[in-house]
Amino acid sequence: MIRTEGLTKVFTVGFRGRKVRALEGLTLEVKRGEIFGFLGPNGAGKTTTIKILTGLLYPTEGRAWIMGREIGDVSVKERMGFLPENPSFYEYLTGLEFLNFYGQLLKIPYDERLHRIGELFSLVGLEGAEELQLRRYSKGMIQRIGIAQALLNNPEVVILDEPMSGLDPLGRKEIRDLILRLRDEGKTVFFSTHILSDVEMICDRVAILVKGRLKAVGPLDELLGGYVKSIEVTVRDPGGVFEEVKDLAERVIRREDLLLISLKDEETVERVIEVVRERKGRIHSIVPQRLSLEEYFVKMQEEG
Amino acid sequence: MRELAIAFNTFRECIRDRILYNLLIFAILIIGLSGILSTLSIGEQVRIILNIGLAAIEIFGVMMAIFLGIGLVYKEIDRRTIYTILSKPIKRYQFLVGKFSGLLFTLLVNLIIMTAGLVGVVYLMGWHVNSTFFYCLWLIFMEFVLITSLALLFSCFSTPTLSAIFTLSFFVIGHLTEDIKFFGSRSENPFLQKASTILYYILPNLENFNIKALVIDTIVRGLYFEDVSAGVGLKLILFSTLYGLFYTAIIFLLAVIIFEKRDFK
Amino acid sequence: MRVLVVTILILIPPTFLTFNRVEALKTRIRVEGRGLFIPSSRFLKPASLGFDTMVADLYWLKTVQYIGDDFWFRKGYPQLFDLVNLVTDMDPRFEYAYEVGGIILSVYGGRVDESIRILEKGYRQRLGYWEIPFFLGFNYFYYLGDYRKAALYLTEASRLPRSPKYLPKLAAKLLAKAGDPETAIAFLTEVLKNMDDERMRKEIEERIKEVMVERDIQHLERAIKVYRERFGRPPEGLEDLVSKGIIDRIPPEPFGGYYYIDKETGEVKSSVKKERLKIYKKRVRR
Ligand SMILES: Nc1ncnc2c1ncn2[C@@H]1O[C@H](COP(=O)(O)OP(=O)(O)O)[C@@H](O)[C@H]1O
Ligand SMILES: [Mg+2]
Repeated sequence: MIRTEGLTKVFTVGFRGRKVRALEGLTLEVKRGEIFGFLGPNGAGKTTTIKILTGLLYPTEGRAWIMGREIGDVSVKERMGFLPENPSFYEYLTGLEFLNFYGQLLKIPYDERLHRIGELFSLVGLEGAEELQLRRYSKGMIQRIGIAQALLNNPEVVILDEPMSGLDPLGRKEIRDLILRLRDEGKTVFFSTHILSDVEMICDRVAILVKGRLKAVGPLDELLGGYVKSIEVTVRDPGGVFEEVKDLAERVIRREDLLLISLKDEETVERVIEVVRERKGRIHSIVPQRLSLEEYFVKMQEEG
Repeated sequence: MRELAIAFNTFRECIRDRILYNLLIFAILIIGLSGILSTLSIGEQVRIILNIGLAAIEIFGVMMAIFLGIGLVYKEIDRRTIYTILSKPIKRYQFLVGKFSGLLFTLLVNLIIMTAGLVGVVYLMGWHVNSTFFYCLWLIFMEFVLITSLALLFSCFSTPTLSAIFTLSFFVIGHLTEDIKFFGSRSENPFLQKASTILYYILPNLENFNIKALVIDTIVRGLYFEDVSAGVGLKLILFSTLYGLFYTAIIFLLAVIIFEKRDFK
Repeated sequence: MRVLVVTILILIPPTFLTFNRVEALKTRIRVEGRGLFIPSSRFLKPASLGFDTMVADLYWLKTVQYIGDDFWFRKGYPQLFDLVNLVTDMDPRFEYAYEVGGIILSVYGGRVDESIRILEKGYRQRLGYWEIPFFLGFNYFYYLGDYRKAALYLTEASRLPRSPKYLPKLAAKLLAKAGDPETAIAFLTEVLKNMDDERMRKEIEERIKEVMVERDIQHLERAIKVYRERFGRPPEGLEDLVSKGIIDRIPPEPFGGYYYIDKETGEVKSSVKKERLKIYKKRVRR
């Protein structure tokens, strides 16, 4: 769906013409219908990549294709949606005027346009803000209307640059749900973030970019699997479990009949499960505690 | 169609901009003032009204063209609104066409408003405007078109302040190219002679759009423009218009080349 | 991208062609006598927002260009007064504008009253330049034959700094021997000394020669009168005046021609300048 080959971007800064290599030979493929997370710390080159994909920057080297067509082909954009990083829109327009204007650019017929706009206002949770000028929108509302404009044409590919930045935890969750919904509708979603937890639950695959270079691509579990810090098991203890697992675990927290057990590896998890079965307890959840992305990057650097 | 949407939005942007109203109010005030001033000097009334009125229309129109034109593209980049616009199926040159025509439409509307004011004052003073008057305004509009294209060109690669300075300089020099040529030809220095001739042909000659003297002449003397020099008058309008359009086209295409090539960082 | 560059290249020739057409058409309209748009200073003064002198300079540039234009030279500079008037409204201390405008208007334009209006406007500013009253005096003397006023202005001029030493004498001469061509020659020579412009100098030199012709003719006619009193009949030719010892020699004609006696009228004439100079009468060419 999205393919890049050796994308490289070199910026020239200042009067001296100092060169900044923002992206270094990025080769990547995003498959149809997947949610693809583009992970990397600040300054990794995520935005640069996305701007190249949307035709805002020209790559110094390399090529890229979306839906089989080389970027720069305008027809691609008819079936694509894009939300930039920290978006900003025509502040003198009302929300409705804004979406209507963009709908015109997409040549959506009038009736369909109005219908679609109404739908989107409720989809992104902006009902009631239609007649408000964008200059009066809060940052979260701008982010939402930004997503709405990206979805106006019911796109096959959606590219989102840091869609969760600047949102509160609830907002983040809403965006996550929205992305999942888009995938369910069969869309391909490519989004960037520097926060691991944003991608954890929802991404089919992720790519990790550091200093303009691609470090890893694949399902998150595979990538971070080797770096599980601990496994947290929650069980309901009818009595006796606590005493038996106390020595196996690194730490046990007890709250009434609930136990939160932190374990080191999968072997001990097996043994804990046996104990719980014997005691007729119940297993609530088993959650592996991964490294945070920051810890991951530190580890990667340590490993060279 | 897509260009039209951009143009309409540009128009909306301009008419929601405070600069426009300030300039328009000033222009109307000065045009109105010309009526009051003219009552002070009997006999030359219409001359003074037209002098002041036409000059005010031209100067304020050019100021609108410059101050709105310099932000045309720059603001879109600065406020990052261009990111999503260009992610829609619209070519970069179409975006420029839309922005350019949107501003031209705004200027046309303002020109009509200012003209209505001037015509009103002229009528109140007991005179009538004639066809030359409207030809003159048409050429003034051609000047707006050319100035707007320059502002657009600068706005594609430079900051508003610099663009304003550049465009304003072109406006001033554009009215002095004949003087440049004259003084160059008078110079002893062969390099200056050559340079002044080259400048004369390269710089836009805005005096080609200036027939204000003819308006006053024909209105005061009750002549018809069609009679001026046995039809030369109409040919002058035609060729001045063509000159303006060709020149604007070249400037606009330069703007497109720059705009197509640039990165939006 | 290449398409754009090619389109621009294609557009360049028609731009030039229309440019030239407009230029030609403008000239034709100008031939019809319609000229510059000169705004009124009443408008320009407030509109220049305090940059009055700069605006004056800009219009002065236009004025100089107007003066240098052969077309307007042949037309006698119909708008020169308006231009200089505007320049000096914008900058009333622009001495050079009064001076040049004044001279050109009378010497080339034959617009003596406009010249005098401009110079007197400058004179009222009391800028302290002797040239302004001097040229005023010249206008009154040479074009209007008003010797008293001319002498008055010359006296004024002589009081101003750096004025030539000769001025008081010239003023006195004007009052005493106004009708004498020598006075005119002296005045014109003084004017000539204060001219740098080549074309202007030629013009004044021409005038001096014209007055010289007048002087020679007056001289020869006096001799003929003596001849007639002595011999009771007019001479056959001018040579008779020399051979009979009334004058030493026939003066050379300053334009390179010769003097002769017109057989029909009996008057002395120059082979080059057929018309006599009516220096003492109003000679305003309007
Ligand atoms: N316009 C620019 N000029 C110079 N350097 C830039 C520019 N934009 C980005 N960079 C540099 O390129 C690198 C990647 O930036 P970016 O793509 O914005 O990172 P990310 O979006 O991953 O945070 C950074 O080192 C940044 O400093
Ligand atoms: Mg970024």
